[in-house]
Amino acid sequence: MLEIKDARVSYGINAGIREATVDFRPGEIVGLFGENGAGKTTLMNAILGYVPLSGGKITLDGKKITRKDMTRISIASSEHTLFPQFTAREHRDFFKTFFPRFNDERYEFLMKFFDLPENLPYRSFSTGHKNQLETILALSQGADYVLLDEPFAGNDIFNREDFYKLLLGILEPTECLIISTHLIEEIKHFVGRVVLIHKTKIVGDKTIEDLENEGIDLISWMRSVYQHDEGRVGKLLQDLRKDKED
Amino acid sequence: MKVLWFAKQKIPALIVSIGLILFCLLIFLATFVNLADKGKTNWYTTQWVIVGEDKYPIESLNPNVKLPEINSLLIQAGFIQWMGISFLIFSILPAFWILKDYHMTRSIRTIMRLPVSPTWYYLDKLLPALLGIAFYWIIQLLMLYVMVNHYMGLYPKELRPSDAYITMWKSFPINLLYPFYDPVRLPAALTFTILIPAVVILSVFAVKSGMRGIISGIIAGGGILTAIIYFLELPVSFWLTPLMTITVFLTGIWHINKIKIT
Repeated sequence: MLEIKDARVSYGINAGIREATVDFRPGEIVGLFGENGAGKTTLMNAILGYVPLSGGKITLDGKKITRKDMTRISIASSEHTLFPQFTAREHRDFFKTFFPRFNDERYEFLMKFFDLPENLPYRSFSTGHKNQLETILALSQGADYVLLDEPFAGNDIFNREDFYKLLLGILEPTECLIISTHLIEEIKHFVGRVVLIHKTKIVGDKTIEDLENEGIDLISWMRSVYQHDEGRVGKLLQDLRKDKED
Repeated sequence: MKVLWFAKQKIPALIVSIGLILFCLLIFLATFVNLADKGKTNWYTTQWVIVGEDKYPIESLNPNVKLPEINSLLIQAGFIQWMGISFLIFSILPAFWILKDYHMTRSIRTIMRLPVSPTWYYLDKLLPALLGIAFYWIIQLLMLYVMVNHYMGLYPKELRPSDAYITMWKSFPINLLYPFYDPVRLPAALTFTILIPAVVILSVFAVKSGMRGIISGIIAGGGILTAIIYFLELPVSFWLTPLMTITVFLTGIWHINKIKIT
């Protein structure tokens, strides 16, 4: 289990995450939702040790995450973090060298699905293709916990829909997928649990089953947690009109 | 196998840098030969001897004629400047690689989540730079032998200075890198070549870590001061340079393992 307890991340005087407590269990598909700057990426960066914790702890099966554990955690971000001069095939070989549990079969399958060029350098890929290759490698690494940070950026709707179906078909029952995205409507039928982050704080954590039992749909629940004012736009437009008249 | 993945990414830049250094050293050699040849003078004086009605020239050696000192020729040929350029190239290279990983490609995020010790990353940047400096050191040493032989060849056999090598090894700035006449200085000279790129790498780490990099920044500053002290040939540098090099090296390893670089 990947456990985050009272984790805090600070960027100078600004908080990146405040007292985050959440855990991710094998076999779960978790949607990590929140507005821009809420702290979703920071939380993932903290799990990977990219940013230092100013408090709290993050553990994997009860132990502090070490370098060796990086074989068990993978990430695909839309930050284009691969090697520009390497081709997809070279990236595969590179990952195979460092991650002994690399899943060749899954890699080949996903490469075929996305129809990515094998022998072109990564730098010549389009934005969508770059994100796709990162996703393929993250899913093929053989990790127990796969973090996907906005993995669908630059992908068209049909590609995305097919990909959700495909993911459900290829994931092992022990694999945990944590997806951070703004495309909530699209993935609401795909995730089993939703964690909400609002202004650097975890404000909600529910399974889809719980929501169904309570008779609330995901978007309504999110609106209530965020205390979203539906009349906000109307009020703003009214104020604007008033200002113009004055 | 894992090492090869990192090493092969450095090869193009390393080949270009080594080619550049070779070109610089060839200019250094050509300049030295040109200067030494210009200094060549008429070693003999001609005296005329009259025998009967005939005049015969007799050439005798002029012991007061000398070429400029070899170390002054080496300085004039740009030893210090080429040394500076070589160290600059092989110090900029690791800094460039680190900044490229962080800013130009962001591949540091992939590198830093590999299940290997971060010390790898540090050595991956330092060792190619040291390899380049070692190449410069060896090629320049070979060239110095060529230069001394050329210099001695300009003298007539009778006037050939027997102490040209000793003069060269003893004098500044050759003794900074090749203290063969004074082996006590050898550890300082060898560690000096490691100190410069290690200080540059540590400085980059310190700057990129912001407030968390203060200790590394101070130690990097100490490393720069040590390099200056060594260059000024202060006796303290004989033990300070190796000590500071070890400190900077270990601080670099400590930093990459313990301090987050963002």
